[in-house]
Amino acid sequence: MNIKKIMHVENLTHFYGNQIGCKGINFDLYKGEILGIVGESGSGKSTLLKCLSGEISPSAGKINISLDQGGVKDFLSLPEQEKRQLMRSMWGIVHQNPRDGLNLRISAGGNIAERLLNVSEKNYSFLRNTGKYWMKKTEMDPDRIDEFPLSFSGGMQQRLQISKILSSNPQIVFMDEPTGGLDVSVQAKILDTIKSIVRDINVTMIIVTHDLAVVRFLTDKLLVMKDGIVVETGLTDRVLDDPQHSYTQLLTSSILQV
Amino acid sequence: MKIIELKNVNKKFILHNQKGIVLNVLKNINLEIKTGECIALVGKSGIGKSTFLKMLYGNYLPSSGEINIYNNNKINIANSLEHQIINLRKYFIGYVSQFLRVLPRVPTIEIVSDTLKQQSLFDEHSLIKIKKLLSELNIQESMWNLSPLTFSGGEQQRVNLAKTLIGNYSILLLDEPTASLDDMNKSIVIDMIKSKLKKNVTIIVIVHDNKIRNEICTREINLEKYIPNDN
Ligand SMILES: Nc1ncnc2c1ncn2[C@@H]1O[C@H](COP(=O)(O)OP(=O)(O)O)[C@@H](O)[C@H]1O
Ligand SMILES: [Mg+2]
Repeated sequence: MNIKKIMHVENLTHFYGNQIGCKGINFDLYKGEILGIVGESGSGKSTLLKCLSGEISPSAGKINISLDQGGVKDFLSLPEQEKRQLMRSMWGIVHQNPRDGLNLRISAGGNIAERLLNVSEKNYSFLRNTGKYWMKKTEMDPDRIDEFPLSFSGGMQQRLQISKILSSNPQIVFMDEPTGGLDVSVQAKILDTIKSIVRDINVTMIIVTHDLAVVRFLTDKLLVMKDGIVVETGLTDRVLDDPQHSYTQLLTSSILQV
Repeated sequence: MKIIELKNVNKKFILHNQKGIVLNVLKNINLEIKTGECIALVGKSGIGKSTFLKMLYGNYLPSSGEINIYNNNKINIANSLEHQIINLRKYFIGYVSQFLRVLPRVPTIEIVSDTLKQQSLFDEHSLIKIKKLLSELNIQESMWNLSPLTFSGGEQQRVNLAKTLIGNYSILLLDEPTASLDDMNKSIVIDMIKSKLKKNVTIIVIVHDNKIRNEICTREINLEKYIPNDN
């Protein structure tokens, strides 16, 4: 068994002025892995995710990526143009607020097609069928393909955003609290949907959440963050059931409700 | 042929948020298990039998030492990449925990199917096989499409067993698999374990009933001798 390493992160560090965002982060991500980043709010989870997905340029460190085409690349020293192209086509970012990830001025189908056009798929009926297929897969009504995002509920908007991202078969999906803004009952259903999709297709994903139930449910391995640094990492069930670091022990006992 | 090897394995728990209390549980474990053995783990309650199984599954981390699993190559489960352990769990080592732990809302039949899907063994004959196994374990047909989370203790345990026994694993770790079963279901499960042994599966089982131990096990490992003397 030889699984490809698609991301190698070394000493990744980001400061906001004097303030630590995240510091000295090291990890490897292999194809098909789902990595969870957990910690309290303010612990640096989203900063780390933004550095990884190219939304912000870290103060220091290294990110090597190795995608399906093109061998190993030093992500942080790619020309801005190439970085943006990567993010548009090979990365998929699912934002906490679906409105940040959707184009509100075009239809549901248009949103999915827009993304597919970036990976150079131009056939109209193909785009439409793919749109409907993904709406079905995320348990939306495909007959609503021509409606605009704002006519959908928050939960449905999130499903649409997930359709939009996954339809283009990205090589790494980034999710930041994907169910954060939703009602608990809606959250559970969306997690079910995400879970069944990741079981079906071999996606590689990095997911930020403060919710340990989400982590247990979805992820293979974990980074536990506190005050900008990673205090513990490992197989998800190992970290949750036999936590080694005092902070992880606090997090997994009911003492600290994050 | 050896399939599992423990070298200088120690396990302690440090409870950082309870004044740093250290629980020394197991010490200096050196042993080998051969393919096809059926090992009974024995020792009084709280001695560390479940802890031992969980370390073999990579669910608990040994404080020091190596736990080597031999499939085609040697994998030290105490020090491997996550995806290597996940892969081992998918194809090689099955674990039946003391209590069923499954996702909410997933129907029983899907929980059992999922094992075969993960092993890429799911085909057109699988559903028949799954239904047969569930029936043999006395899980009524009317329950197959329900989540087992509302089932009785004994029913949950049998679903837990079905989920793992349907798979094609080389090693099975069973934590009190018959504890909450009545005599009839006990003997059904024992027969299933025996048929796994006929297929040369290696089994490590925690079981309190002497009679069952004598019936299926080829060797006992008493954890008494691994109690640290400072306890
Ligand atoms: N995750 C854990 N954290 C802290 N202590 C634990 C943990 N799991 C087990 N222990 C302790 O390890 C010892 C052995 O427990 P266990 O393996 O469950 O024993 P047995 O299965 O033989 O009854 C007990 O003192 C138990 O409290
Ligand atoms: Mg036990």
